[in-house]
Amino acid sequence: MRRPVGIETEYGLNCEGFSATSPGAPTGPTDGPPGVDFGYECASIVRAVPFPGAFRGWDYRGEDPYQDLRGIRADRLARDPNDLEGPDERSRKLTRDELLANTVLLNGARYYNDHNHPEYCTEATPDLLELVAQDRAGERIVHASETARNEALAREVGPATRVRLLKNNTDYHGRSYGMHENYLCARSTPLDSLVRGMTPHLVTRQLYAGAGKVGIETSGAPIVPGFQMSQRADFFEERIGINTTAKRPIFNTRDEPHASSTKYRRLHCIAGDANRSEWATAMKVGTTALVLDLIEDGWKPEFEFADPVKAIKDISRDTSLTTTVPMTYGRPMTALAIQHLILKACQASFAGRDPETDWVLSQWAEALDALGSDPEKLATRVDWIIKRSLFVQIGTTGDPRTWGDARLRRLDMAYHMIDPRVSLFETLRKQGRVMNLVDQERLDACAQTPPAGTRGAIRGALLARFGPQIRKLEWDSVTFDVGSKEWRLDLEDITGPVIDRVIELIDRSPDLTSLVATMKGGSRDA
Amino acid sequence: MTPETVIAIAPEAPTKPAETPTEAPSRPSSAPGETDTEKSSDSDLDDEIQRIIREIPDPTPQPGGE
Repeated sequence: MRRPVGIETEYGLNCEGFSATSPGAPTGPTDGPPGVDFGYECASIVRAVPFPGAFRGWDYRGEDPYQDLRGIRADRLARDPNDLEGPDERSRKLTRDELLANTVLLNGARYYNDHNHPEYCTEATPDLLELVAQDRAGERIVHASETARNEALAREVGPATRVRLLKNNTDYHGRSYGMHENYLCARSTPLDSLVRGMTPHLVTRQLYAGAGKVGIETSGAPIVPGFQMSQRADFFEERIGINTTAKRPIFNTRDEPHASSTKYRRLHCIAGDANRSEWATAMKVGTTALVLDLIEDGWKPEFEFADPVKAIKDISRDTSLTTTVPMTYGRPMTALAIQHLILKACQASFAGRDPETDWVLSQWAEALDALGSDPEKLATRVDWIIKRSLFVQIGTTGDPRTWGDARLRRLDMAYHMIDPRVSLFETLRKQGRVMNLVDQERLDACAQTPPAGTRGAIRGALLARFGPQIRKLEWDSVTFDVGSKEWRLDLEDITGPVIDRVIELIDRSPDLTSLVATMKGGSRDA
Repeated sequence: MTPETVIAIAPEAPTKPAETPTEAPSRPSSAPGETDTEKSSDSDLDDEIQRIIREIPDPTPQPGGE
């Protein structure tokens, strides 16, 4: 890819067997499992991660979710009036650091408690397959912490009390949590061009990147029987905006570049599903990165949805792919027709650029052809088609009314569980029924090793060499104690071959003082 | 204590493709029918599905996130 891309995933947590008599849980919430203090549970899960060498803590100086790409700063962010709040007697006793449970792993990833969900953020990398591998490694790391937490719960409360972690985007009770992609973009690209170019793709890429969902949800209302392409489409309410937990926009304008703010934006893309299929993750990111390349090269699509918020839902709910969507100009179009136009533009500009791009383009063309002729050809690659094929095969969906069957919703949830023993997707993987892109050896390596050539590789090298002296960490910098002084290594502008040179210096320096002395050619007082 | 900042400066922008070698996703290494993972029989899958349905409870409500 022409840019670094990272994936952040908020994992769902299905809490079973918690009761009002669980330790520290004297009262139950009104509509949740009695006794679940979600903040406490989430922090406990993250802190249970059994990976030595991890750094605990985070430097929040580079984070400001109120800063808007439109050049304004929000006074406040919207909150879901139907959000679930459990008891908080235990979590209120935690310090802020204990509650947030920020953990930086040797592979450069950040794992922490975000809105009472365990969130795993990969290091950003321009290597598409490496990103897929890092995302998959995250599943294994999160599962390791799930296992450790359940062992503790079994000891403290009893074996019937447990948490099950899900890589999905809904609780099936009208609430959503996110998978976000982060694409580094040139600040010089006009925001209007980004919005206009990205929106048609974000609305229609669910054709091959949708994770599939049993049911249709609206906040605060009972789930409606049905099956749709996307886990997330039900939860979008606006075309563009800064909010993420309510009034969710298709194009999110949060402005946290985590890089030089004069040179870059970070497209914080919240309109997407958490995929189990590696192929779907690769295509979700690979196609979107190409569309961004097009936009940065000046592409302006001649098509525009009249109502993208309605379109993303209508497209998701029509798995026959025949729904046409009103456009601002001209005749209504299908999602498939729009995807063909975007693909054609990418092929014209980027075919032959490099092997990775050619792989994405060929898979994209193959997928769109299959969607137009026989979608079942994608029943090993596209999550929603894998699910639908399976549910039809086991005879539960011959009649549309059966989509309301509670067993089916359970199976849908099981598809997204990360515990291989109960995960439907992992069962399919084990049985050779889904396509893999990442081999076991690479997966094992990614749990410990950052993507090469990234700032994460520097963080990993510093953690490995000077971990005990690190005081604070964030995406852009590492701050550590050197004698009586505090030193901050600024990674904001570091990129390309310089990364390897810095890592070489870290490896060569006998101690931190020597490393800082060597790098002082580029030092300044903060 | 005011930290001293050490800056590592790179002249190139990270959007240049050639700086970091990319590796094309290899041909799917374990696509069904082409891999070392042999596809199991449908009855094996049915058994596993029935076990999962028995073992998994209904979804419990959760807080919303981002």
